[in-house]
Amino acid sequence: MLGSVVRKIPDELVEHYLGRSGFHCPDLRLTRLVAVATQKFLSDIASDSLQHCKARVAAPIKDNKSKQPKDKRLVLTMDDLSKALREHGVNLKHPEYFADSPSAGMAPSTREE
Amino acid sequence: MSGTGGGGSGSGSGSGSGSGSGDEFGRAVARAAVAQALEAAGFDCAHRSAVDAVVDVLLRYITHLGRSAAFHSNLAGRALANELDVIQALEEVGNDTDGFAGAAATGRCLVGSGVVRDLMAFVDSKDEVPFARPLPRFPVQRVQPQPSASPAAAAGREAGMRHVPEWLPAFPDSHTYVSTEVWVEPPATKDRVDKVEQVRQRRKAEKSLLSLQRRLAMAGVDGFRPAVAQDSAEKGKEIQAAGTKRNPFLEPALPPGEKDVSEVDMPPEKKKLSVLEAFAPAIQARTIREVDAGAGLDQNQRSIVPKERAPVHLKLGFEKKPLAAALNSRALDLREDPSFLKEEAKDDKKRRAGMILRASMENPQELPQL
Repeated sequence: MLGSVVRKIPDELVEHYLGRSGFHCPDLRLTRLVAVATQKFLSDIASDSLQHCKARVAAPIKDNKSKQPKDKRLVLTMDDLSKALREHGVNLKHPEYFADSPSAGMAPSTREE
Repeated sequence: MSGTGGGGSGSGSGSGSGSGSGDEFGRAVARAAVAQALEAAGFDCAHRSAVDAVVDVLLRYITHLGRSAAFHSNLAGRALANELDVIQALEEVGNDTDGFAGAAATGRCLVGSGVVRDLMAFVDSKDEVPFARPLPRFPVQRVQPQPSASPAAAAGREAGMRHVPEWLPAFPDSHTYVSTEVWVEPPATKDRVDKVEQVRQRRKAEKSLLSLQRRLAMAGVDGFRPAVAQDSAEKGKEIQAAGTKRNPFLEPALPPGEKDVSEVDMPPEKKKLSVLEAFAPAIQARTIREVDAGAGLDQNQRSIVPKERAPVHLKLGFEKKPLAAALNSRALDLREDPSFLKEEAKDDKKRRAGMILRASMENPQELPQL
């Protein structure tokens, strides 16, 4: 079952990050299992955000100015991603603009008062 | 899985390096995989910050799966994880908030879990959409993430440190902890040793000279005595053997003409040198023999029988105390002299004897009567 999947997540990457978290398995099938699970997770996120993006594009169709759902390119934005991730339990908040120095959002220890 | 990915991706819309801690290569690989998955999903393009956020979430997902699987296996008392551990971790994570079939039921076998069935369904559904084979760049990656965890670890592994595990960082250079011999020669202690040695030899020479002068004084005061001299305690001190040896200085005088003696040649002036020459064999004998010859005057006297008689200069005056003081003071002066320190012991003794004689010449009243 695992061999039929065209793996987009490379095995070495998964093994590296599993090793960093203390998960040592000499069995390759377990690694493939985790890789498949992450691939499924990734595809779920992608499809959900795609749905959000299409819904966003399809909404102001009465504007009749620029946005046409078929020609316009589908761009993954942070808004769509945050909405898709919220359903999976990840709270993603992206600030729209930065009004401060580049070290604004960093840890207080590194920030100058 | 509730993680605040906003903080990670809020560093900038650029490369998103604020979220990466050091594994940039893994992140780059994951970014490529995410981009490919997004393209497969139907996106034309994406914001870079959004891609970085997805990468971060994905890596956290993998890490969380690994951690929970390891936790479950450790809970069961195993070191290596099982597939059941992974499945249980997957169930714990929950692939979707909608849940999966059989999530509410407890006490069931994991083999027939809904997660696995969902995964199998996903696998089957994926085959329907054809997409390009991922680029074969990842077989090279296995070299890099492990050396990135332990940099330069293989450098010192062959040096005999095989008991050290490889994931530890490399040791510092061996010269920082290997104790080598110190090449610096401490001249201070050498000088001190030399000084101590010189002082010791000087003291020996002083003692022998003092005893000689004392004995000469005794011989001069008390007249001729037989060789067996056990009467006086002083003589007993000076003579090492129990008096069985015959002191040539204490024997009765030979009648004139019995023994042929050479003429005494009087050198013109240099009195110091004559006495110095008379004492030179003793000094040499003393230097050759490093044994404590403080009281061994007999041996010294027996060895020095000069072939020609040198004139003996008698000094008037009787004083016992300052002789040793004079010797000590002379020794101090010599010690302070830097040129004196560098010579050998033999020259030291000669010079010191000369200085003593010079002092005796200067103070004729202070020397004991010979």
